[in-house]
Amino acid sequence: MILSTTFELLGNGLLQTLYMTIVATVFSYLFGLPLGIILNITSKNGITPNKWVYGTLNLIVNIFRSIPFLILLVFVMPFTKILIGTRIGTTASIVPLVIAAIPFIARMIESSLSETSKGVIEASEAMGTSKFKIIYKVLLPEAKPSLLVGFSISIVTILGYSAMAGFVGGGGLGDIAYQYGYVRNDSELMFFTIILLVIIVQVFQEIGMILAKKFDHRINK
Amino acid sequence: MSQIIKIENLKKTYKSKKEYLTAIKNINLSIEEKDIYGIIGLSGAGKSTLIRCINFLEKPTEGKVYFKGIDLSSLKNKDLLKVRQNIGMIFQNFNLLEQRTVLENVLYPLEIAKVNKEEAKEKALSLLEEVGLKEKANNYPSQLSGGQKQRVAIARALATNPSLLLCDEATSALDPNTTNQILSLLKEINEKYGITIIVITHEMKVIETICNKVAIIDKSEIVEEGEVKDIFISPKTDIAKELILPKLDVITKSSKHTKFRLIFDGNVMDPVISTMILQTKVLVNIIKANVRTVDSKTYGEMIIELSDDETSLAKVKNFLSNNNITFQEEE
Repeated sequence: MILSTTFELLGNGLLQTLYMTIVATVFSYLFGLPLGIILNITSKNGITPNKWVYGTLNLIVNIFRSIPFLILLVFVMPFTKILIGTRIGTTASIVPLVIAAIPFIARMIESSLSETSKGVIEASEAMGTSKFKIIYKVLLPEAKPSLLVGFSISIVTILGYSAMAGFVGGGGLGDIAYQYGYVRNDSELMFFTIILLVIIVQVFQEIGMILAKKFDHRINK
Repeated sequence: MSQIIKIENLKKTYKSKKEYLTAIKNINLSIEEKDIYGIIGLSGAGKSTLIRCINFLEKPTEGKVYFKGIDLSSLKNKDLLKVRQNIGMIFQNFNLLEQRTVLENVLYPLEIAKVNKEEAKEKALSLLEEVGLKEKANNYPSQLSGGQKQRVAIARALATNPSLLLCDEATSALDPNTTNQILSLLKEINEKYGITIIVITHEMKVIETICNKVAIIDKSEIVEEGEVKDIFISPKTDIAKELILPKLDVITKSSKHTKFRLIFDGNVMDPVISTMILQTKVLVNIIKANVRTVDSKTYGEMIIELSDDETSLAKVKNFLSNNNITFQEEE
Protein backbone atom coordinates (compact mmCIF):
# COMPACT_ATOMS: atom_id res chain seq x y z
CA MET A 1 0.00 0.00 0.00
CA ILE A 2 2.76 2.37 0.90
CA LEU A 3 4.67 1.34 -2.19
CA SER A 4 1.76 1.94 -4.51
CA THR A 5 1.16 5.42 -3.08
CA THR A 6 4.80 6.22 -3.66
CA PHE A 7 4.52 5.04 -7.24
CA GLU A 8 1.41 7.06 -7.75
CA LEU A 9 3.09 10.09 -6.28
CA LEU A 10 6.15 9.75 -8.45
CA GLY A 11 4.07 8.86 -11.50
CA ASN A 12 1.97 11.98 -11.07
CA GLY A 13 5.07 14.08 -10.53
CA LEU A 14 6.65 12.64 -13.65
CA LEU A 15 3.57 13.42 -15.73
CA GLN A 16 3.42 16.97 -14.37
CA THR A 17 7.10 17.48 -15.11
CA LEU A 18 6.74 16.18 -18.65
CA TYR A 19 3.64 18.30 -19.16
CA MET A 20 5.35 21.47 -17.99
CA THR A 21 8.53 20.75 -19.92
CA ILE A 22 6.92 19.79 -23.20
CA VAL A 23 4.25 22.49 -23.26
CA ALA A 24 6.77 25.13 -22.20
CA THR A 25 9.23 23.94 -24.87
CA VAL A 26 6.59 24.12 -27.59
CA PHE A 27 5.55 27.65 -26.63
CA SER A 28 9.13 28.80 -26.13
CA TYR A 29 9.99 27.67 -29.65
CA LEU A 30 6.88 29.26 -31.03
CA PHE A 31 8.25 32.63 -29.94
CA GLY A 32 11.98 31.85 -29.65
CA LEU A 33 12.41 30.53 -33.19
CA PRO A 34 11.18 33.65 -35.00
CA LEU A 35 13.04 35.83 -32.50
CA GLY A 36 16.26 33.90 -33.09
CA ILE A 37 15.82 34.15 -36.84
CA ILE A 38 15.24 37.91 -36.64
CA LEU A 39 18.29 38.31 -34.40
CA ASN A 40 20.40 36.34 -36.87
CA ILE A 41 19.30 38.08 -40.07
CA THR A 42 19.40 41.61 -38.64
CA SER A 43 22.82 41.19 -37.03
CA LYS A 44 25.87 42.81 -38.59
CA ASN A 45 26.75 39.70 -40.56
CA GLY A 46 23.16 38.72 -41.30
CA ILE A 47 21.36 38.84 -44.62
CA THR A 48 19.49 42.07 -43.84
CA PRO A 49 21.55 43.91 -41.22
CA ASN A 50 19.47 46.36 -39.26
CA LYS A 51 21.14 48.14 -36.38
CA TRP A 52 17.94 49.30 -34.68
CA VAL A 53 15.98 46.09 -34.81
CA TYR A 54 18.98 44.05 -33.74
CA GLY A 55 20.00 46.51 -31.05
CA THR A 56 16.53 46.63 -29.49
CA LEU A 57 15.91 42.88 -29.52
CA ASN A 58 19.43 42.21 -28.34
CA LEU A 59 18.90 44.47 -25.33
CA ILE A 60 15.57 42.87 -24.41
CA VAL A 61 17.00 39.37 -24.71
CA ASN A 62 19.97 40.34 -22.56
CA ILE A 63 17.77 41.83 -19.87
CA PHE A 64 15.54 38.76 -19.63
CA ARG A 65 18.53 36.43 -19.66
CA SER A 66 20.05 38.28 -16.72
CA ILE A 67 17.06 37.76 -14.42
CA PRO A 68 17.54 34.67 -12.23
CA PHE A 69 14.73 32.21 -12.86
CA LEU A 70 13.56 32.08 -9.26
CA ILE A 71 13.05 35.84 -9.26
CA LEU A 72 11.37 35.80 -12.64
CA LEU A 73 9.03 33.15 -11.29
CA VAL A 74 7.70 35.55 -8.69
CA PHE A 75 8.04 38.66 -10.81
CA VAL A 76 5.74 37.47 -13.62
CA MET A 77 3.00 36.26 -11.29
CA PRO A 78 0.63 39.18 -11.97
CA PHE A 79 1.04 38.58 -15.68
CA THR A 80 0.36 34.87 -15.22
CA LYS A 81 -2.81 35.73 -13.32
CA ILE A 82 -4.07 37.78 -16.26
CA LEU A 83 -3.12 35.11 -18.78
CA ILE A 84 -4.15 31.89 -17.05
CA GLY A 85 -6.48 33.15 -14.36
CA THR A 86 -4.37 31.80 -11.52
CA ARG A 87 -0.84 32.38 -10.31
CA ILE A 88 -0.13 28.94 -8.91
CA GLY A 89 -0.26 25.40 -10.15
CA THR A 90 1.29 23.38 -12.92
CA THR A 91 -0.22 25.24 -15.86
CA ALA A 92 0.52 28.60 -14.27
CA SER A 93 4.19 27.73 -13.90
CA ILE A 94 4.45 27.22 -17.67
CA VAL A 95 4.22 31.00 -18.13
CA PRO A 96 7.49 31.88 -16.35
CA LEU A 97 9.12 28.84 -17.93
CA VAL A 98 8.27 30.12 -21.40
CA ILE A 99 9.34 33.67 -20.57
CA ALA A 100 12.68 32.42 -19.27
CA ALA A 101 13.25 30.04 -22.16
CA ILE A 102 12.39 32.35 -25.09
CA PRO A 103 15.54 34.48 -24.90
CA PHE A 104 17.65 31.41 -24.20
CA ILE A 105 16.28 29.61 -27.25
CA ALA A 106 16.49 32.72 -29.41
CA ARG A 107 20.21 33.02 -28.66
CA MET A 108 20.76 29.36 -29.40
CA ILE A 109 18.98 29.67 -32.73
CA GLU A 110 20.79 32.88 -33.59
CA SER A 111 24.11 31.15 -33.10
CA SER A 112 23.09 27.94 -34.91
CA LEU A 113 22.02 29.92 -37.96
CA SER A 114 25.26 31.85 -38.06
CA GLU A 115 27.15 28.62 -38.70
CA THR A 116 26.06 28.62 -42.34
CA SER A 117 28.95 29.91 -44.42
CA LYS A 118 28.62 33.33 -46.02
CA GLY A 119 29.65 31.74 -49.29
CA VAL A 120 26.67 29.41 -49.38
CA ILE A 121 24.33 32.32 -48.69
CA GLU A 122 26.03 34.35 -51.39
CA ALA A 123 25.66 31.48 -53.86
CA SER A 124 21.95 31.24 -53.14
CA GLU A 125 21.59 35.01 -53.59
CA ALA A 126 23.43 34.70 -56.90
CA MET A 127 20.86 32.12 -57.97
CA GLY A 128 18.10 34.66 -57.42
CA THR A 129 16.80 33.54 -54.01
CA SER A 130 14.81 36.15 -52.12
CA LYS A 131 15.81 36.98 -48.54
CA PHE A 132 12.71 35.27 -47.21
CA LYS A 133 13.41 32.08 -49.12
CA ILE A 134 17.02 32.12 -47.95
CA ILE A 135 15.70 31.72 -44.40
CA TYR A 136 13.74 28.55 -45.00
CA LYS A 137 15.61 27.09 -47.94
CA VAL A 138 19.18 27.75 -46.82
CA LEU A 139 19.65 29.00 -43.26
CA LEU A 140 17.28 26.62 -41.46
CA PRO A 141 17.99 23.40 -43.42
CA GLU A 142 21.75 23.95 -43.37
CA ALA A 143 21.69 24.50 -39.60
CA LYS A 144 19.44 21.52 -38.90
CA PRO A 145 22.00 19.42 -36.97
CA SER A 146 23.00 22.39 -34.85
CA LEU A 147 19.35 23.32 -34.27
CA LEU A 148 18.64 19.78 -33.04
CA VAL A 149 21.55 19.92 -30.61
CA GLY A 150 20.19 23.26 -29.44
CA PHE A 151 16.76 21.70 -29.05
CA SER A 152 18.03 18.97 -26.74
CA ILE A 153 19.96 21.51 -24.67
CA SER A 154 16.87 23.72 -24.45
CA ILE A 155 14.52 20.97 -23.37
CA VAL A 156 16.92 19.85 -20.65
CA THR A 157 17.31 23.44 -19.46
CA ILE A 158 13.54 23.90 -19.33
CA LEU A 159 13.26 20.64 -17.41
CA GLY A 160 15.76 21.99 -14.90
CA TYR A 161 13.78 25.22 -14.55
CA SER A 162 10.56 23.24 -14.12
CA ALA A 163 12.00 21.68 -10.96
CA MET A 164 12.27 25.15 -9.47
CA ALA A 165 8.65 25.80 -10.37
CA GLY A 166 7.87 23.35 -7.57
CA PHE A 167 8.59 26.13 -5.09
CA VAL A 168 5.57 28.09 -6.25
CA GLY A 169 3.31 25.05 -6.15
CA GLY A 170 3.96 24.09 -9.73
CA GLY A 171 4.00 20.40 -8.96
CA GLY A 172 6.20 17.93 -10.74
CA LEU A 173 9.23 15.99 -9.60
CA GLY A 174 11.01 19.08 -8.32
CA ASP A 175 8.06 19.79 -6.07
CA ILE A 176 8.12 16.23 -4.70
CA ALA A 177 11.83 16.35 -4.06
CA TYR A 178 11.37 19.59 -2.16
CA GLN A 179 8.18 18.71 -0.24
CA TYR A 180 9.10 15.18 0.75
CA GLY A 181 12.87 15.20 0.53
CA TYR A 182 13.61 18.54 2.12
CA VAL A 183 10.56 19.48 4.21
CA ARG A 184 9.79 15.95 5.49
CA ASN A 185 13.35 14.73 5.34
CA ASP A 186 12.45 11.61 3.33
CA SER A 187 15.80 11.08 1.68
CA GLU A 188 14.76 7.80 0.02
CA LEU A 189 12.00 9.48 -1.93
CA MET A 190 14.28 12.33 -2.84
CA PHE A 191 16.75 9.79 -4.14
CA PHE A 192 14.14 8.18 -6.41
CA THR A 193 13.08 11.56 -7.70
CA ILE A 194 16.64 12.43 -8.58
CA ILE A 195 17.10 9.11 -10.41
CA LEU A 196 13.93 9.74 -12.38
CA LEU A 197 15.11 13.24 -13.34
CA VAL A 198 18.50 11.92 -14.41
CA ILE A 199 16.83 9.32 -16.61
CA ILE A 200 14.55 11.87 -18.31
CA VAL A 201 17.43 14.23 -18.94
CA GLN A 202 19.50 11.42 -20.44
CA VAL A 203 16.64 10.31 -22.68
CA PHE A 204 15.99 13.84 -24.01
CA GLN A 205 19.66 14.48 -24.54
CA GLU A 206 20.33 11.20 -26.31
CA ILE A 207 17.35 11.57 -28.62
CA GLY A 208 18.52 15.07 -29.56
CA MET A 209 22.08 13.99 -30.22
CA ILE A 210 21.06 10.93 -32.24
CA LEU A 211 18.76 13.03 -34.41
CA ALA A 212 21.42 15.69 -34.88
CA LYS A 213 23.91 13.08 -36.00
CA LYS A 214 21.43 11.40 -38.29
CA PHE A 215 20.65 14.65 -40.05
CA ASP A 216 24.19 15.89 -40.37
CA HIS A 217 25.57 15.19 -43.81
CA ARG A 218 28.76 17.11 -43.37
CA ILE A 219 30.77 14.20 -42.05
CA ASN A 220 31.55 11.15 -44.13
CA LYS A 221 29.52 8.13 -43.18
CA MET B 1 28.16 39.86 -82.15
CA SER B 2 26.18 41.65 -79.55
CA GLN B 3 27.17 42.79 -76.13
CA ILE B 4 25.96 40.79 -73.18
CA ILE B 5 27.56 42.94 -70.50
CA LYS B 6 28.38 46.58 -70.65
CA ILE B 7 29.95 48.34 -67.72
CA GLU B 8 30.15 52.12 -67.60
CA ASN B 9 32.24 54.18 -65.17
CA LEU B 10 31.74 51.67 -62.43
CA LYS B 11 32.87 52.62 -58.96
CA LYS B 12 32.45 50.86 -55.64
CA THR B 13 33.52 52.31 -52.35
CA TYR B 14 33.11 50.84 -48.91
CA LYS B 15 32.58 52.95 -45.87
CA SER B 16 34.76 51.98 -42.98
CA LYS B 17 34.73 53.85 -39.68
CA LYS B 18 36.41 57.02 -40.82
CA GLU B 19 37.40 56.73 -44.44
CA TYR B 20 36.06 55.47 -47.73
CA LEU B 21 37.85 52.55 -49.29
CA THR B 22 37.73 52.39 -53.03
CA ALA B 23 37.49 48.81 -54.24
CA ILE B 24 37.11 49.61 -57.93
CA LYS B 25 36.86 52.78 -59.98
CA ASN B 26 36.68 54.00 -63.60
CA ILE B 27 35.74 50.56 -64.84
CA ASN B 28 34.53 50.44 -68.43
CA LEU B 29 34.13 47.08 -70.08
CA SER B 30 32.07 45.49 -72.74
CA ILE B 31 31.79 41.78 -73.04
CA GLU B 32 30.53 40.19 -76.21
CA GLU B 33 28.33 37.13 -76.39
CA LYS B 34 30.25 33.84 -76.42
CA ASP B 35 33.41 35.46 -75.08
CA ILE B 36 35.46 33.80 -72.41
CA TYR B 37 36.57 36.98 -70.77
CA GLY B 38 39.31 36.88 -68.18
CA ILE B 39 39.83 39.50 -65.49
CA ILE B 40 43.20 39.08 -63.86
CA GLY B 41 44.83 40.91 -61.00
CA LEU B 42 46.78 40.39 -57.84
CA SER B 43 44.86 39.84 -54.64
CA GLY B 44 43.29 43.04 -53.36
CA ALA B 45 43.14 44.55 -56.84
CA GLY B 46 39.34 44.64 -56.73
CA LYS B 47 38.49 41.79 -59.05
CA SER B 48 36.12 40.03 -56.64
CA THR B 49 34.19 43.25 -56.13
CA LEU B 50 34.03 43.76 -59.87
CA ILE B 51 32.53 40.34 -60.59
CA ARG B 52 29.99 40.83 -57.79
CA CYS B 53 28.89 44.10 -59.33
CA ILE B 54 28.07 42.25 -62.54
CA ASN B 55 25.19 40.36 -60.90
CA PHE B 56 24.60 43.09 -58.34
CA LEU B 57 25.58 40.97 -55.34
CA GLU B 58 27.39 44.22 -54.64
CA LYS B 59 25.53 47.39 -55.55
CA PRO B 60 27.87 49.80 -57.34
CA THR B 61 28.38 53.18 -55.74
CA GLU B 62 28.47 54.88 -59.14
CA GLY B 63 28.16 53.81 -62.75
CA LYS B 64 26.01 51.38 -64.64
CA VAL B 65 25.97 47.70 -65.44
CA TYR B 66 23.91 46.60 -68.42
CA PHE B 67 23.00 42.95 -68.88
CA LYS B 68 21.64 42.37 -72.39
CA GLY B 69 20.88 46.07 -72.52
CA ILE B 70 19.00 46.16 -69.22
CA ASP B 71 20.30 48.66 -66.69
CA LEU B 72 20.51 46.54 -63.53
CA SER B 73 20.26 49.55 -61.23
CA SER B 74 16.84 50.36 -62.69
CA LEU B 75 15.36 46.99 -61.70
CA LYS B 76 13.11 46.30 -58.77
CA ASN B 77 14.42 43.65 -56.40
CA LYS B 78 11.98 41.07 -57.75
CA ASP B 79 13.14 41.60 -61.32
CA LEU B 80 16.76 41.59 -60.27
CA LEU B 81 16.24 38.14 -58.76
CA LYS B 82 14.77 37.01 -62.10
CA VAL B 83 17.80 38.39 -63.97
CA ARG B 84 20.12 36.54 -61.60
CA GLN B 85 18.50 33.27 -62.60
CA ASN B 86 19.89 34.03 -66.03
CA ILE B 87 23.44 34.52 -64.70
CA GLY B 88 25.18 31.46 -63.26
CA MET B 89 27.99 31.81 -60.78
CA ILE B 90 30.66 29.49 -59.41
CA PHE B 91 33.07 30.16 -56.57
CA GLN B 92 36.49 29.32 -55.23
CA ASN B 93 35.00 27.43 -52.29
CA PHE B 94 32.25 25.79 -54.37
CA ASN B 95 29.55 26.92 -51.89
CA LEU B 96 27.40 23.84 -52.18
CA LEU B 97 24.57 23.31 -49.71
CA GLU B 98 26.09 20.80 -47.31
CA GLN B 99 22.83 19.28 -46.14
CA ARG B 100 21.57 18.60 -49.65
CA THR B 101 22.62 15.77 -51.90
CA VAL B 102 24.41 16.43 -55.17
CA LEU B 103 21.13 16.07 -57.06
CA GLU B 104 19.27 18.34 -54.61
CA ASN B 105 21.99 20.97 -55.03
CA VAL B 106 21.46 21.00 -58.79
CA LEU B 107 17.69 21.10 -58.20
CA TYR B 108 17.98 24.15 -55.96
CA PRO B 109 18.03 26.88 -58.65
CA LEU B 110 15.18 25.07 -60.43
CA GLU B 111 13.11 25.18 -57.25
CA ILE B 112 13.79 28.89 -57.02
CA ALA B 113 12.80 29.31 -60.67
CA LYS B 114 9.63 27.26 -59.94
CA VAL B 115 10.27 24.67 -62.63
CA ASN B 116 7.96 21.67 -62.20
CA LYS B 117 9.47 18.74 -60.34
CA GLU B 118 9.58 16.12 -63.09
CA GLU B 119 11.14 18.47 -65.59
CA ALA B 120 13.61 19.76 -62.99
CA LYS B 121 14.79 16.29 -62.06
CA GLU B 122 15.29 15.33 -65.67
CA LYS B 123 17.27 18.50 -66.30
CA ALA B 124 19.40 18.06 -63.17
CA LEU B 125 20.26 14.46 -64.00
CA SER B 126 21.22 15.31 -67.55
CA LEU B 127 23.50 18.08 -66.27
CA LEU B 128 25.10 15.73 -63.78
CA GLU B 129 25.72 13.30 -66.60
CA GLU B 130 27.27 16.11 -68.59
CA VAL B 131 29.76 16.92 -65.81
CA GLY B 132 30.40 13.21 -65.26
CA LEU B 133 28.83 12.85 -61.82
CA LYS B 134 25.56 11.09 -62.44
CA GLU B 135 26.49 8.15 -60.22
CA LYS B 136 27.16 10.58 -57.34
CA ALA B 137 23.66 12.07 -57.53
CA ASN B 138 22.67 10.79 -54.09
CA ASN B 139 25.94 11.53 -52.35
CA TYR B 140 26.50 14.54 -50.13
CA PRO B 141 29.08 17.22 -50.95
CA SER B 142 31.28 16.15 -48.03
CA GLN B 143 31.83 12.86 -49.82
CA LEU B 144 33.26 14.52 -52.93
CA SER B 145 36.70 15.79 -53.87
CA GLY B 146 37.30 19.47 -54.65
CA GLY B 147 37.16 18.91 -58.40
CA GLN B 148 33.93 16.97 -58.09
CA LYS B 149 32.40 19.69 -55.92
CA GLN B 150 33.24 22.28 -58.54
CA ARG B 151 31.62 20.07 -61.21
CA VAL B 152 28.44 19.95 -59.13
CA ALA B 153 28.63 23.73 -58.75
CA ILE B 154 28.95 24.06 -62.52
CA ALA B 155 25.97 21.78 -63.10
CA ARG B 156 24.01 23.83 -60.56
CA ALA B 157 25.01 27.11 -62.22
CA LEU B 158 23.86 25.81 -65.61
CA ALA B 159 20.51 24.44 -64.41
CA THR B 160 18.49 27.49 -65.35
CA ASN B 161 20.11 27.75 -68.82
CA PRO B 162 21.87 31.03 -68.06
CA SER B 163 23.42 33.02 -70.87
CA LEU B 164 26.30 34.18 -68.69
CA LEU B 165 28.50 32.28 -66.25
CA LEU B 166 30.59 34.12 -63.67
CA CYS B 167 33.61 32.26 -62.29
CA ASP B 168 35.12 33.72 -59.15
CA GLU B 169 38.57 32.14 -58.75
CA ALA B 170 36.87 28.87 -59.62
CA THR B 171 40.08 26.88 -59.88
CA SER B 172 42.16 28.55 -57.18
CA ALA B 173 41.45 25.87 -54.59
CA LEU B 174 42.22 23.00 -56.96
CA ASP B 175 45.42 21.18 -57.84
CA PRO B 176 46.94 21.78 -61.30
CA ASN B 177 45.57 18.58 -62.77
CA THR B 178 42.02 19.19 -61.56
CA THR B 179 42.34 22.84 -62.63
CA ASN B 180 42.96 21.70 -66.19
CA GLN B 181 39.96 19.39 -66.13
CA ILE B 182 37.66 22.13 -64.84
CA LEU B 183 39.02 24.60 -67.39
CA SER B 184 38.40 22.23 -70.27
CA LEU B 185 34.89 21.61 -68.95
CA LEU B 186 34.27 25.37 -68.98
CA LYS B 187 35.63 25.64 -72.51
CA GLU B 188 33.39 22.77 -73.58
CA ILE B 189 30.33 24.45 -72.07
CA ASN B 190 31.21 27.68 -73.82
CA GLU B 191 31.46 25.95 -77.18
CA LYS B 192 28.47 23.65 -76.77
CA TYR B 193 25.93 26.12 -75.37
CA GLY B 194 27.44 29.38 -76.55
CA ILE B 195 27.33 30.63 -72.98
CA THR B 196 29.43 33.69 -72.20
CA ILE B 197 31.94 33.16 -69.40
CA ILE B 198 33.61 35.77 -67.22
CA VAL B 199 36.58 34.44 -65.30
CA ILE B 200 38.21 36.15 -62.35
CA THR B 201 41.65 34.83 -61.52
CA HIS B 202 45.14 35.63 -60.34
CA GLU B 203 46.68 32.90 -62.46
CA MET B 204 47.84 33.75 -65.97
CA LYS B 205 47.61 30.07 -66.79
CA VAL B 206 43.82 30.21 -66.56
CA ILE B 207 43.70 33.16 -68.96
CA GLU B 208 46.10 31.48 -71.32
CA THR B 209 44.18 28.20 -71.33
CA ILE B 210 40.61 29.32 -71.93
CA CYS B 211 40.16 33.06 -72.42
CA ASN B 212 39.98 34.90 -75.69
CA LYS B 213 39.94 38.33 -74.08
CA VAL B 214 41.50 39.68 -70.94
CA ALA B 215 41.42 42.75 -68.75
CA ILE B 216 44.17 43.41 -66.26
CA ILE B 217 43.08 45.08 -63.08
CA ASP B 218 45.53 46.79 -60.79
CA LYS B 219 44.91 49.05 -57.80
CA SER B 220 41.14 49.20 -58.45
CA GLU B 221 41.43 50.10 -62.11
CA ILE B 222 41.65 48.33 -65.43
CA VAL B 223 45.07 49.09 -66.82
CA GLU B 224 45.09 47.00 -69.94
CA GLU B 225 42.47 45.19 -71.96
CA GLY B 226 42.18 43.33 -75.21
CA GLU B 227 42.62 40.05 -77.04
CA VAL B 228 44.67 37.60 -75.02
CA LYS B 229 47.22 37.09 -77.76
CA ASP B 230 47.81 40.82 -78.19
CA ILE B 231 48.38 41.32 -74.49
CA PHE B 232 50.73 38.36 -74.36
CA ILE B 233 52.74 39.58 -77.33
CA SER B 234 53.14 43.13 -76.13
CA PRO B 235 52.15 43.78 -72.54
CA LYS B 236 52.33 47.53 -72.04
CA THR B 237 52.11 48.01 -68.31
CA ASP B 238 54.50 46.73 -65.68
CA ILE B 239 51.75 44.82 -63.95
CA ALA B 240 50.83 43.04 -67.19
CA LYS B 241 54.46 42.09 -67.71
CA GLU B 242 54.70 40.87 -64.15
CA LEU B 243 51.57 38.76 -64.47
CA ILE B 244 52.50 37.32 -67.83
CA LEU B 245 56.10 36.61 -66.98
CA PRO B 246 56.83 36.73 -63.30
CA LYS B 247 60.41 37.89 -62.79
CA LEU B 248 62.68 34.99 -62.07
CA ASP B 249 64.24 34.90 -58.65
CA VAL B 250 67.78 33.71 -58.67
CA ILE B 251 69.04 31.42 -56.01
CA THR B 252 72.64 32.47 -55.99
CA LYS B 253 73.76 31.53 -52.56
CA SER B 254 75.14 28.11 -53.47
CA SER B 255 77.12 28.94 -56.55
CA LYS B 256 79.68 31.63 -57.22
CA HIS B 257 79.82 31.31 -60.98
CA THR B 258 78.90 34.09 -63.34
CA LYS B 259 75.24 34.21 -64.25
CA PHE B 260 73.47 35.93 -67.10
CA ARG B 261 69.83 36.82 -67.29
CA LEU B 262 68.72 36.59 -70.90
CA ILE B 263 65.58 38.39 -71.94
CA PHE B 264 63.66 37.15 -74.96
CA ASP B 265 61.36 39.76 -76.46
CA GLY B 266 59.97 37.91 -79.43
CA ASN B 267 62.79 38.72 -81.83
CA VAL B 268 64.93 35.74 -81.08
CA MET B 269 65.93 33.06 -83.51
CA ASP B 270 64.70 29.75 -82.29
CA PRO B 271 67.34 27.38 -80.89
CA VAL B 272 69.35 30.23 -79.42
CA ILE B 273 71.11 28.39 -76.60
CA SER B 274 72.11 25.44 -78.77
CA THR B 275 73.46 27.77 -81.42
CA MET B 276 75.38 29.69 -78.81
CA ILE B 277 76.99 26.58 -77.40
CA LEU B 278 77.95 25.31 -80.82
CA GLN B 279 79.39 28.61 -81.95
CA THR B 280 81.22 29.65 -78.81
CA LYS B 281 82.07 26.14 -77.59
CA VAL B 282 81.32 27.38 -74.06
CA LEU B 283 79.26 25.10 -71.86
CA VAL B 284 76.35 26.67 -70.04
CA ASN B 285 74.07 25.58 -67.28
CA ILE B 286 70.43 26.62 -67.52
CA ILE B 287 69.47 27.56 -63.99
CA LYS B 288 65.94 28.71 -64.54
CA ALA B 289 63.73 29.67 -67.43
CA ASN B 290 60.28 31.08 -67.89
CA VAL B 291 59.53 31.22 -71.56
CA ARG B 292 56.30 31.39 -73.48
CA THR B 293 55.66 31.00 -77.15
CA VAL B 294 52.89 33.11 -78.60
CA ASP B 295 52.32 33.07 -82.34
CA SER B 296 55.63 31.21 -82.75
CA LYS B 297 57.56 34.01 -81.07
CA THR B 298 59.42 33.49 -77.87
CA TYR B 299 59.00 35.70 -74.83
CA GLY B 300 60.48 35.35 -71.42
CA GLU B 301 63.56 35.13 -69.34
CA MET B 302 66.28 32.61 -68.76
CA ILE B 303 69.12 32.50 -66.31
CA ILE B 304 72.26 30.69 -67.38
CA GLU B 305 75.43 29.96 -65.50
CA LEU B 306 78.88 29.94 -67.09
CA SER B 307 82.42 29.20 -66.04
CA ASP B 308 84.31 32.27 -64.85
CA ASP B 309 86.95 31.96 -67.53
CA GLU B 310 87.43 35.43 -69.10
CA THR B 311 87.69 34.34 -72.70
CA SER B 312 84.56 32.18 -72.50
CA LEU B 313 82.63 35.04 -70.96
CA ALA B 314 83.77 37.38 -73.69
CA LYS B 315 82.70 34.91 -76.36
CA VAL B 316 79.26 34.53 -74.87
CA LYS B 317 78.76 38.27 -74.44
CA ASN B 318 79.83 38.76 -77.99
CA PHE B 319 77.39 36.15 -79.27
CA LEU B 320 74.51 37.60 -77.29
CA SER B 321 75.07 41.15 -78.48
CA ASN B 322 75.50 40.03 -82.08
CA ASN B 323 72.17 38.29 -81.90
CA ASN B 324 70.38 41.21 -80.22
CA ILE B 325 69.57 39.32 -77.09
CA THR B 326 69.21 41.55 -74.08
CA PHE B 327 71.14 40.24 -71.11
CA GLN B 328 72.27 41.31 -67.68
CA GLU B 329 74.94 39.91 -65.49
CA GLU B 330 73.39 38.71 -62.24
CA GLU B 331 75.02 39.19 -58.90
